[in-house]
Amino acid sequence: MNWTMPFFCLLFIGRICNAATQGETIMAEPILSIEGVSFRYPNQSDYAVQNVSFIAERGEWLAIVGHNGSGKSTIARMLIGLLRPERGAIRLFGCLLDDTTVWEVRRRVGMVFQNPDNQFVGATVEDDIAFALENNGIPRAEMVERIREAIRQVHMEPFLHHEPHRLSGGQKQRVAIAGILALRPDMIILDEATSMLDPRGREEVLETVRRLNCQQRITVLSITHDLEEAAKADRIIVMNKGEVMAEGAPEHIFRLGSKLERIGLDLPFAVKMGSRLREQGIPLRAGYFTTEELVEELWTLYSKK
Amino acid sequence: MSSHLIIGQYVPGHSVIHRLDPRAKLLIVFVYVLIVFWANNIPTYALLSLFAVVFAALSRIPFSFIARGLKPILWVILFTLLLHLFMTKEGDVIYRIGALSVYEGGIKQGLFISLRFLLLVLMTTMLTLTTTPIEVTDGVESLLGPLKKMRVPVHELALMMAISLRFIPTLMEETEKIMKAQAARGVDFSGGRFSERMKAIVSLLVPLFISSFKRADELATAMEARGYRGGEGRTKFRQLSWKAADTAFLAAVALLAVLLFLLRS
Amino acid sequence: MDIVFEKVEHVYNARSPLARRALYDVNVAIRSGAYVAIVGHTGSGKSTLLQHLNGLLQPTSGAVKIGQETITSNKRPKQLKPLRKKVGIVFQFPEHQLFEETVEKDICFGPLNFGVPEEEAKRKARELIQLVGLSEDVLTKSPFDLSGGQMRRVAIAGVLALEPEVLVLDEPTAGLDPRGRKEMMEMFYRLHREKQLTTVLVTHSMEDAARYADEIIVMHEGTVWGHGTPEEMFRDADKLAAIGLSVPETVKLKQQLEKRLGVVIPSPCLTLEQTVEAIQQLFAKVSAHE
Repeated sequence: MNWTMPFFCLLFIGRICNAATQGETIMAEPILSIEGVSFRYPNQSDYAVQNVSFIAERGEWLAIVGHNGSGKSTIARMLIGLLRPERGAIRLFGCLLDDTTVWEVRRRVGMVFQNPDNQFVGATVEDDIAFALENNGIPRAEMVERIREAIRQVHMEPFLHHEPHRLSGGQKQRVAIAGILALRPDMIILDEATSMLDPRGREEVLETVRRLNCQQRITVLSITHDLEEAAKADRIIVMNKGEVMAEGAPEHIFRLGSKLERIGLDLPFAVKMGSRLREQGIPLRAGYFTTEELVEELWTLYSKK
Repeated sequence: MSSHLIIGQYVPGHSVIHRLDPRAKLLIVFVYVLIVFWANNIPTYALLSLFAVVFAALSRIPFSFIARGLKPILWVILFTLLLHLFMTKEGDVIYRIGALSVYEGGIKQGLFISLRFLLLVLMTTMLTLTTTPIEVTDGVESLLGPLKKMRVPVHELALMMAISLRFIPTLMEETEKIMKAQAARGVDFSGGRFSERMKAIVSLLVPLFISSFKRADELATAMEARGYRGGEGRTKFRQLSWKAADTAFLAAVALLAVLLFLLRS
Repeated sequence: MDIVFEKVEHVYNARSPLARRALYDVNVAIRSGAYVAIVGHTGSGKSTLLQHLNGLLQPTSGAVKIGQETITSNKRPKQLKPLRKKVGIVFQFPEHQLFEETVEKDICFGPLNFGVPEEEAKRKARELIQLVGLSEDVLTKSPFDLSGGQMRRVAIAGVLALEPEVLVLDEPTAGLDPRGRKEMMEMFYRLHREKQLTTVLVTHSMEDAARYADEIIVMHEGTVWGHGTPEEMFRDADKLAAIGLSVPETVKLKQQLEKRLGVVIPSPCLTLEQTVEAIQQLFAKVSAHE
């Protein structure tokens, strides 16, 4: 297309080779590890986050759940250096997060915030996607290319020149995701990114992120109080009062049943239904997810009778 | 709902004027505004008017749009005209109504000043009608670029301007929402006693300020998360490109300046 | 107070190039004392409809009758104030309307606007703060020192302080966590019964609509698509799916079970409890046959 193209091709090949040689070390190490992290907001005596440790594997979808004020958003903010832990260490890509690495981390880890309006900086969709590229000093010619690629990935091509007030909440969140994708990130953090959206917008956003997680193996850390949403994660961490209360695969977590309800969470419908039916003496196996699976199980029991 | 109207000054189009570099347009309007004050006789005013009319015609914006933009200042022009008509006492008396006399100089002066005013507004309106606010911002940033050496935070100012523009529709919507919520609690925004009106305004402004601060705070966090750390080392997505047409128009306005200087009496 | 919409149409920016029709041919009646849920997508006309309930918007054609008052395009009551006192609206994110220095003053703001004596307004504030589940010592605090959930409760108390006969709720639980959502919905249901209110709930949650409402109005692309009891509205899941809406999870389960097991479940299964009971009966019947 222009004289810079061969140059970019070379760069791109360089990236792949680089990744290939480093492949082994990357696989061996978790993309994120948090060790004994505590945090207190200024002028507060109670810890918002206390002695929290966990890891995230490359390519996994990890959900952090908890009620409002359980400390889950505070953790998200610490991960990209917006807040600094009082104690403990955060490692991303094998490096300790500190003043020297924070900007590199923000390039490789993107965060989608709760309010779709308050993270839209640009005058139009393309300006907004360009914002993070500009911050990272990406040359203009490459920007155009990356913006086109990112907008395609979130299926927002027809809206490239739209102003934010002409978009729905779900569309704005998808633009925010495109803004992150343009930086070719390793990890996306969703900080209650769907909680202000209507059901349609929520589905749009989750569908987009799911696709990126599957196809591009982008690690996803989703912070939510919606267990229905968390049910689709590979792993769930339950936070309560600033501490990790439980950690494990969804079917493992949902066995906690009423314990989760007691800390202000709502079990997914099929799980709740299953446990109520068990209480009523219908001998169902523990730990279902979808309504379909529950129907199958009930059918098996019903036809046996 | 009304948010489209507020920045709705801009009329989308692809005319030669629309496509001019915003820097060129800013410079043209700037020079024009300066030299308007040089005009003091019929040839100079005629030249200025010709330039403005050609400029407006080239923009292909319907006359009705331009007229609508000029409407609010019509009474100011009328007032200026009348003031000069009766206050200037030069030349022959043309007409006399009671104690008031209209002099020849008065008519001339009144017409000139009104025309000057009209031209000023017409040219600045042309700028906003053919240039999006964000282009104006880019143009201003680029033109003020040299001031960076004097430690004027040009980039920051431009970014502030751009973000403000982006949030105008959001805040308009918010204002409407809060007004409705307070109206549902019995606030009457359309009338009432002075004290009631003050209370009504407070009930709108306090929530509006609080939410704006919250927005600003969240926006700053989001910007930081997206790697914003000031203007240094930043590249720019929006590029301005200076074309031959820009040079031509700038030359035209320079020529106008020279002619005006020569023809003024 | 009955509310009747007759051929209501609403066009924003009428007679301008930006004109946009948000509502048309809306004919619907909300009877006094009913709990009515309005469901539909964003942009289906729900929020335009609800703003007609207390004259914040007036129809561009047709008529809205609210009790004795009639609002039409050219004629509307000179004083909308009495109407606004009778119909209280809790807007989405109502905490955004707080502005006074203390919680007490903010709750009293509405009543004072309607000419209620200060003493009485204060007495009401004390009563309401407990009703919305906060303690009395909150009254002297600044509303901006409270948590998000508490602020919302204060704002709701501020609307309840008007002692409306009709309470309109526009997605009152948006942004709350599951426990907060449940507590708030239960609170509104309690108020509905105790104060014999007419309640209009605009919601995206089919579960809430099924659990609490006597009637459901489904809005689609600016007009009423359907109106009936939850049982009637959720009978045909496919028809709702065609306009992009779903039935509650419990109804989904019931319908799938009926299909898979080849049985008919007589219960409408509108709530979790109903559904558990229905399934239990299904299995009990089988055991009895043996």
